[in-house]
Amino acid sequence: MNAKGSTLILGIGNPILSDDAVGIRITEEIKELYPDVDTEVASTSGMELVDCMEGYDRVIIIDSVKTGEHPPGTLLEIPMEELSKAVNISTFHNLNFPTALELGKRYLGKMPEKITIYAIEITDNVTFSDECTSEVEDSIKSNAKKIMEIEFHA
Amino acid sequence: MVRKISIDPITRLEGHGKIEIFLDDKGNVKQAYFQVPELRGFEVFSLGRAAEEMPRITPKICGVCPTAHHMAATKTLDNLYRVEPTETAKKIRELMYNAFMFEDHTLHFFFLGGPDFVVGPDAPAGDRNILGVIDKVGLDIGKQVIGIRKKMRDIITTIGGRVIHPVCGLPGGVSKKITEEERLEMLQVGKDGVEFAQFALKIFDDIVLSNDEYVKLITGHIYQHNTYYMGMVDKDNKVNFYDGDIRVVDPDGKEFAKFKPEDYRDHIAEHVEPWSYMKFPFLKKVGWKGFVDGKNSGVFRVAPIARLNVSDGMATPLAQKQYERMFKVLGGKPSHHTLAYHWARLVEVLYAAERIVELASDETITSDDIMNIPTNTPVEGVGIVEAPRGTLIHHYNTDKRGVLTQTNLIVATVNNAAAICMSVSKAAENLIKNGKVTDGVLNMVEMAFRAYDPCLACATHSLPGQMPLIVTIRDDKGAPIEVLRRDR
Repeated sequence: MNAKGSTLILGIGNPILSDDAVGIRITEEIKELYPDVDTEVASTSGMELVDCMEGYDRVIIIDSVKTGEHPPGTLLEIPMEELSKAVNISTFHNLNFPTALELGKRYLGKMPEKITIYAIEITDNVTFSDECTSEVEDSIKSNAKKIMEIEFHA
Repeated sequence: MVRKISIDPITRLEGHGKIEIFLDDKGNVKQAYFQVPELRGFEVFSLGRAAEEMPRITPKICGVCPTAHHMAATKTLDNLYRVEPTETAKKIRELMYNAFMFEDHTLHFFFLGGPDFVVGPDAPAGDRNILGVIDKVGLDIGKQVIGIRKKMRDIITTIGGRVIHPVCGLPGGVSKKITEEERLEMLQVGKDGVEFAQFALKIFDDIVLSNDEYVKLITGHIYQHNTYYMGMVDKDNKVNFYDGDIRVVDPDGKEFAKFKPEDYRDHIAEHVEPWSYMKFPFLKKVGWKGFVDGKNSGVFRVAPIARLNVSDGMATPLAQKQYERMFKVLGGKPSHHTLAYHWARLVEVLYAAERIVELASDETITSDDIMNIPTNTPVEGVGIVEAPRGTLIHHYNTDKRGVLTQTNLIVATVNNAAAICMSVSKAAENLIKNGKVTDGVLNMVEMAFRAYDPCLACATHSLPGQMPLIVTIRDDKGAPIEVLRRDR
């Protein structure tokens, strides 16, 4: 399709659930630093994410993760195959991402060839707040720059 | 250099949903508990904000049913400001809402609940998804599901402004009118929806109803609970998702109560258990008697089969035929069969599509008269809609400037919480005897709660993006005997 740029940066999270918003916040930061980059934010998973990706060659997802093994605010990368392994069945009210992606490939238009998933280690994603916890909040700007350096040598 | 990590959703992620099955000293099921992660502090978050922000804030609680929260919040503002929306605004809202119900229900049937039946309850977990359905039913089905979903979402975007977090609802009306061109497009989508819904019901017929084993499973005692039911009805006691009174029927199907949304506190109370943050709503006038069914227990159920049980029928002709047929096959009304939720959901999909056709056929829906300006001083407001997963209640108190001083939300899945625990318990009881756990318990337990389409998505945004299922079976001392997990 269309006049879309070849790369999309997609921030995922709940904007009012403390650290859960970190993917959205970093994406917004990137947009401010680099207005020409295509960005999108989404508060859901499954098919909606795939809808956003249609037409792009490459998608960089920014989300949160809670492993308890890294300091809050740490930037981590999750290989696609790891994600597929971890969630290969849809359990609750949404389609798991790999299944949604497969559907997108079969029935929607062009789907990205390459998807990179970054996740920020977080502390709190169960308290309603429009601010992240302090360590996560402090990491937003530097993680935005880091992702752009890695991905675009910016 | 960024570190690459693996994620194990069970051991490393906190806050997932889980099922705990406790056995007695003989090794039989005493009680099963369905627990979901606690989300804290919505009330604190909302207090001090303008009530008018709620239709934009509450959809953000969860990415799964934003339109339901948006509409419940908008209706609460109508009630708070004592302003009646214009007739045109009501029609526009209801049209958008039915598009949402259609889309959400369709997603559940084809992507989540349906695969249990279409692919088969004994099929490997990895095959029980939409891709398995496509393999079984044929490639075209995928195309059709994706296509109709997109068209329904386009209706929500056209009216709501944005599909994820709609912004159209205002106290007394909506922010934007519908053009004639848009009306005609929506009419066509509604017609396509009617065709699709009939096709979905035919799949249910061909694959589920023609299979005696499935019918036995649906109507069998493992998945049966004789409870009260609650749902919204129009003036003729027909199902309505957007507006009306709340009707309750008893386990014999007799009307037990009918009330206006603002009187919900006279009828619904909430029971608290020490093991769960989740409150368990029950009928105040019957009382809480524990996780048991029957006429003396205040446990009630909501969502598709409940809505059909409380109503005298469907307001549209094709859905009415399906309604009659469904209850005939199920052995009369009310139906206490939990797995019949799937069937009732499809009847509702057909109704939603027919209602879209009705509303979009009405040329007055394009009128400019979309807003009555509120002039009253706000104090208190209650708004209820039927969300896909059941009755959704919003309740706000404000100061005279309209700043929130108290908020209370009873969400649909919570209304079904006690029943979900009971259904899980009963399914487990039949498969765990004298400490012996039969193979297949995970499947059967999963089917029990999946029928309710429980929405826990609020807590599933962080990777891996959805919650795995963990069932822990514990002995009478609480020590785990067996942990069953579905995550790969």
